[in-house]
Amino acid sequence: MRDVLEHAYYIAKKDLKEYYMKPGTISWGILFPITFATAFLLRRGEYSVWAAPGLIAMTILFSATSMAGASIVFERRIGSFERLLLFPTRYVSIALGKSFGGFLFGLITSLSTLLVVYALLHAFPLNPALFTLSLLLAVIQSSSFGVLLAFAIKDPSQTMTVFNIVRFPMIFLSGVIIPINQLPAPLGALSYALPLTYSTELIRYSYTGEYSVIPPAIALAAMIAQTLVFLTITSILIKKSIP
Amino acid sequence: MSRAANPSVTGDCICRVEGLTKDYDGFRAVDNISFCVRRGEIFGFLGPNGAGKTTTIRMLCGLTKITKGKVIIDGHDLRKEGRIVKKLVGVVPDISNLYAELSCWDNLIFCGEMYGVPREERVRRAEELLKFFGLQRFRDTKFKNLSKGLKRRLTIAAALMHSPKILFLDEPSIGLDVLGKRKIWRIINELNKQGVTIFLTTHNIYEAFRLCHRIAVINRGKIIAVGTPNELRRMVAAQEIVEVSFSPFTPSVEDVLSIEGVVSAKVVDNALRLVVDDVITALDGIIDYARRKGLSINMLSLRGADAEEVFLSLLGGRNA
Repeated sequence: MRDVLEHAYYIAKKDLKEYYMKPGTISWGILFPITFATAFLLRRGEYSVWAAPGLIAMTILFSATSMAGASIVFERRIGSFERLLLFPTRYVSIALGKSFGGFLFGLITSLSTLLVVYALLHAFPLNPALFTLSLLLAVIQSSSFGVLLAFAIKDPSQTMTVFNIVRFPMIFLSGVIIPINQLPAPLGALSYALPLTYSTELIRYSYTGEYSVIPPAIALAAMIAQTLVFLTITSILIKKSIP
Repeated sequence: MSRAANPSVTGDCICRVEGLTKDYDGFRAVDNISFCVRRGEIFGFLGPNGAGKTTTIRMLCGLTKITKGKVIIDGHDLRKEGRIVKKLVGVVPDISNLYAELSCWDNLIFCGEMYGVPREERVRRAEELLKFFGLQRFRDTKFKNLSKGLKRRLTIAAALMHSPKILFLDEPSIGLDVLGKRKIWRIINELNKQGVTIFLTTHNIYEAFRLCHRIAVINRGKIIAVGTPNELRRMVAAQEIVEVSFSPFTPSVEDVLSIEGVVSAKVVDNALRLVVDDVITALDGIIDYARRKGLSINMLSLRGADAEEVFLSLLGGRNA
């Protein structure tokens, strides 16, 4: 177990040095979500406070997945991803390492969004401990989701397109802007399948004391389970990528 | 051109391959090959493009799944003890694929970390390798800013961070200019003198004959010959090369093939290069041919087959 975490740490450290300044990471990982969040929150009032947690969750999703996507796409394209397969490491270390890179990047970005939120709304989370936990869980859940997505895409050049096709509908279906219980029935059902729904619900509960349809304990358990499932499937995909 | 046997070469196999086979969707890329790489030697895998060299080396280092067969490296079965084997081997792929945004130093340290080299040891080793490969002044240069030759050197250095027992080099000098090639060859020789066993693939005949103690010739997924450069020459020793130039004109290749004892012919710089299997008969035939056609013989030389001719002859024997 120690060597799994150690290798994952080295991969994450390397990824941060290598990719944090890539254009895709900056534009889709930092600028877009922060601009989007700021634009929404500038509409001062009750609605904005309600929207803040969803926008934080969305920022986390975009930044963590972008970082993971950038690193995997780039490495697969130039062939350096294969280097990781040459090392005496387990596939889960690679999956975890790639997720850690997104995790650290997502954490930094979410803290920046948090500062924007605080500067505009002067609102503190109702339950700071749960809020911190939900933030950490949301970041690792999002980055592991990004890593899985990046591996599942056959053509690396299409990664950012596919990422955005998956991420954008989530903004509207996961309770970020519209409460899930106000969505039409088929769309409301669909929201249960989206990872952003659970992070939005948990962050919102810890921030405002309210949730839409998913109780905090279930959201928390679902986020842990989803992270484990994403990492496991990614490890399998890495193994299967060997021709 | 061939090299002397390395005194540190021992009889035991550090890498034993038995019946190795790779199938891709009905296409057999590597077909039931077996060979042994002896400890301390430079073993070359020589073949034309698409012969199965890269597929073989990728199977040996775990980058491609083995369809059938066995690979034992330093006593460990690759399929059962993959991670142990990965610690024993260093791999240099045919493309220099280190991390573009990392400096030379960071690339080496990262490789050391991933191979589990202890912190102090990896710093010492990285410094030692930068010095050995003449990369000290590029220590903080990003990999993407290095020249092709320097990238190649750093890629080899990275594969040596954990002091592997055997180094796999896939086309080590591909894409380099003459100076770059010679530098890489010197490095390979130096590493071998230091005791590193080397397995290299190449389609460069000169490189194989110059560097390797033993060579396996592979074509269409099958090994067609294994031996020292001199042994390979002896396999086609029955054939000699006659170079002859005529005046006032050079006859066609088709025409000279009618001369008894001539196996093949080609025109090189207005002269004919003939591969002959019976020198006396062929010389008699050439003189008789010249007389019949009213030609003068300006130059005639006789020599043994060179590396390229040995290679072509070996491939030719299998419908290359």
